[in-house]
Amino acid sequence: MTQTDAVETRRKEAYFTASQGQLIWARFRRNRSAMIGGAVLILLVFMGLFAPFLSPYDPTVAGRNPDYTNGAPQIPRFCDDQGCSARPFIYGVTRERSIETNFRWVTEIDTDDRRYLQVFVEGDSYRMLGIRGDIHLFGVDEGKIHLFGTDAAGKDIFSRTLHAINTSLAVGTLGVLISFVMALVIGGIAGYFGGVIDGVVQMITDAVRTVPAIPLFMAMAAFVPDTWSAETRFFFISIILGLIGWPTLARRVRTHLLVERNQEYVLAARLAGARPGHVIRRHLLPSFTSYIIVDLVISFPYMVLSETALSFIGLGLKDPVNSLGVMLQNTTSADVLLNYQWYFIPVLFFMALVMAFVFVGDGLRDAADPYGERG
Amino acid sequence: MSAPLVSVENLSVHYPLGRSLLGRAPVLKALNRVSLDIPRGAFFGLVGESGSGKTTLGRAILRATPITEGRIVFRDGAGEIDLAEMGRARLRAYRREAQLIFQDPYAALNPRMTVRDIIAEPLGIMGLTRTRDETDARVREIAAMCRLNLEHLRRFPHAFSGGQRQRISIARTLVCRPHFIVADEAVAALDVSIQADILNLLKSLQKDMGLTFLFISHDLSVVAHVSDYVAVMYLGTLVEIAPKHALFRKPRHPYTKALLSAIPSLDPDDDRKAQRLSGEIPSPANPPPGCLFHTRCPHATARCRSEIPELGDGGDGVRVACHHWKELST
Amino acid sequence: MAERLISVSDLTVRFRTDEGLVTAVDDVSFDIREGEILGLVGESGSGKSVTAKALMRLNADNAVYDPQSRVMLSMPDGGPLDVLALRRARDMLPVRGGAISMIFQEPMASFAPALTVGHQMVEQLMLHTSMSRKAARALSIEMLDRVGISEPARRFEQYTFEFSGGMRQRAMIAMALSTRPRLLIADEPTTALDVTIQAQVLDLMKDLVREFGMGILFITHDLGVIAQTADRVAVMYLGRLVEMGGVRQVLRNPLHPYTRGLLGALPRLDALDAPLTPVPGDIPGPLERPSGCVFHTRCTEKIGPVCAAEVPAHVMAAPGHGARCLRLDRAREAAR
Repeated sequence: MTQTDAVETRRKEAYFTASQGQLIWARFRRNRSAMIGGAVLILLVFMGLFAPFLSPYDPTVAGRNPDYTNGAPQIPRFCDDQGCSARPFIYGVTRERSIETNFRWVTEIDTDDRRYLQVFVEGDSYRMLGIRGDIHLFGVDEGKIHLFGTDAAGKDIFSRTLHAINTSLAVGTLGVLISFVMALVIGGIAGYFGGVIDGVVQMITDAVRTVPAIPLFMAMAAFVPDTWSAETRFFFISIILGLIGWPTLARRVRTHLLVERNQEYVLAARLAGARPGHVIRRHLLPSFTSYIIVDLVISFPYMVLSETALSFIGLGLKDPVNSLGVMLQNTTSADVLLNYQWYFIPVLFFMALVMAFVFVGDGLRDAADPYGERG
Repeated sequence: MSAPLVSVENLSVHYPLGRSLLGRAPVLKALNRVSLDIPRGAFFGLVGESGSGKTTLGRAILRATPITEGRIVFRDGAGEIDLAEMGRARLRAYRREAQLIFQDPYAALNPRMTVRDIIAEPLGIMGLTRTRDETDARVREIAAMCRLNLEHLRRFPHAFSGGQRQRISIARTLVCRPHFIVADEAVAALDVSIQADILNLLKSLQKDMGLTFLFISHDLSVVAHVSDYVAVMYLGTLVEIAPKHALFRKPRHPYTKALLSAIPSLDPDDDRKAQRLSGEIPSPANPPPGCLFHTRCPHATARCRSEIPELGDGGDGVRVACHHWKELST
Repeated sequence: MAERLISVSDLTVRFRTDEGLVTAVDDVSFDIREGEILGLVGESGSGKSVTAKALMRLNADNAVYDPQSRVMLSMPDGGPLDVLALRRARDMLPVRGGAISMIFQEPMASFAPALTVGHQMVEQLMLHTSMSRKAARALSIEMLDRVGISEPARRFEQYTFEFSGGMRQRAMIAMALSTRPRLLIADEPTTALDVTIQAQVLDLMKDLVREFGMGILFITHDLGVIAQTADRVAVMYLGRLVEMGGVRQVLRNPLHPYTRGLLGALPRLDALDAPLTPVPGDIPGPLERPSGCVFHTRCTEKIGPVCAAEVPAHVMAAPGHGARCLRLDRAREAAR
């Protein structure tokens, strides 16, 4: 047997002994758009999780820069006509309002005032993943750096964007988890038992699904006391999203179960005398784990979208809790559209996040079809 | 001759079709008053076309489908029991004795389990082994009998061809050492060259393990080769039961004759157009009165249209349900 | 000598898949003449369906046809048409349904469930001929009657789900034949039918061939059906045509070990107690195509390592009957 034969045999044996999970991963890896989506997703999650460290300033009013409100993005550079430097730098800015400019800010960049970028800068203190710290990834030796510019109060948009990703992901995760648990139980009961139970559960599911979301949220918004803290509001919104989102997932769980229940290998187990517990444990649950993971990943963007939309129209999260929807709230004036276009940078991140989820979800779904192995 | 292993007496399986406010709801009579005996150690063939009820009969004997009326007597070592009246505990014990081989080798195996686990599953469910070593030993034993490569036990079903998967399915069926096997179209989904292999395997397993088979198929030539006895079904009833040679050499029922002549012969000069049936198979939800076959029978008389024929003695160990079989045989 | 309707030469079809180029049909050549039924026999993976679809360019987009492959269809008006050389789908229109018609195993695949049978038949006729709607309707009803469907005028207005399996298949035949194609490709047309219905449909097809004088390419895995229906038979294995000849020649005097193996594995009603001899081994998967003679991994009559190295050429052992086997090759050499 030659070298290539041996390699070929090993490869074939690996294929034959590969479990379903390994096969799915192998197929997923071949899907380029899914892998890119996965990489982007991991990157964004990383950015969200480590937001306090990665962002130079506190995203709330506490970290604002009163001297640079509505400021344009400051891009670091290496060289200018005064020479190059190994460390990137930005320019200091001075601003003035005057009668001549109709009381608008006029920003003057002072090219003599170089402010060098530093890494691991001490700055505003924060809590990240339960750890207290005050080291930030980067900063400037004097003044502040605003990679994405600032908003009307002087808050750094870059810091806000990173924290917003975190919040949106957190709301999405919580919402999906709540939906999932409810869908699993409700859809599971309907799918496994079938018959009358299924009929009744279906009616309840459809009833919940037909509840119109916007009026419901408006009603909720009216009831929520202003005295609630931002965190409480955050949990509340997540729970509501979860409670609204379960019907779709429950229907999918039910469908999967109905299909799997009628599989011939399930019948074979029953004919051997298997009890329902055994059938569920050994056949039904493993079979739909891969489908459910796909469903979860695909539901995520809807949760994020819902939260964003709600926050955008003011029914969801509010300042100071930062989410992408909250940040978009500020973009609705003509002033912003004409003069402060950098307010829209978070939109790009938002699109990237949703698209990443969609690609990964589609890739998983394509990879997870085990019956593509036929013949 | 010892008592038959399975005796079916006047078995009926009816499925209700929808509801009706007045009068009786329409029923689909999948099986209607079927009686037959399956001798111990025999390879009993059951043939029929669509709607014949052969699959339903197999499933009913395995208690995999609800029974409307009738008795099924199973004589295991201990005594005889009526399968239609069995309680839950007794049913579990019955599952050890009677098993099913499925038609579709691709659907019958859980793609997420290794072959070893698939074959071992019934042992776990029935609690037949205590240690992992014991299970492994039994799995290897039955896998070897089914001519599976023991190296491949750790592979997943997707690694195997249709014929190999069917062998895995058979191994799973036999691991608990049952006495009675229902093979429902066990070779229908396989290529011809593989079919012969599986059929030979089934025959040798029957001999080695002393099994009794109920072999259900729509393919008469396959049944002809493996069976000792053959029963022909039409629209939920039995029309003829005979030992193999008697059935194929001298069929008595007009439907059997038509079925045999419809099978395309491998001899191009064999012109058996004589017995072509006219018309379609009636729907089991709306069966004709009298003899169920009279709508397509070239010899139907007024008596056939009104009176249901009973299964009677046809000589040579044959039982046939036809009013006029004797005249038609001369 | 009847006119040659279609001539396939050196047809090689590969498919582009994630695992690479997979060969489905390898160097297949055959002719079909007017009034002749050619049976194409093979098991799974034999490539018979892909061959049939190639004649109508119905294969999937990832199909790659070898540049040397030729499918020459003789058109009634003018010279032969090279089906594989056509570049646009539109060019296939006069061929599909017009000169060649195809019927499938699953009649539901042919008929749209939301349109009546009659509507579809008329549509087909009007697409391929210059008939008026009225004339097309009349012809369709006549064809339904001709294929043995009772109350054809009533059935004309019905939907496919109202037909039974056998009737659907007959309606499909009626639709396929209404445009008077010169060649009919029947892909497993009776496999899904009950045996008594199958017998009726096969009788019908034979009668129609006699009446209409067309050629049929009859694809099936059932050798019995071939024996009763075909004039000539071609046996395929793993994409290669291993034996071809008159049906009596091939069935009574099979040349290729695979044909012999197939016949030995078949249960026969005229030899009830004869043992069944299966063909040893398994059909190799599409990624494990054997080198040399494609059957050598399962052949009990191998003459040596040369069978794994050399692709046998098609050798004629008798007029009109030949096979791809090195034994024949060697025998012919020895005879010289």
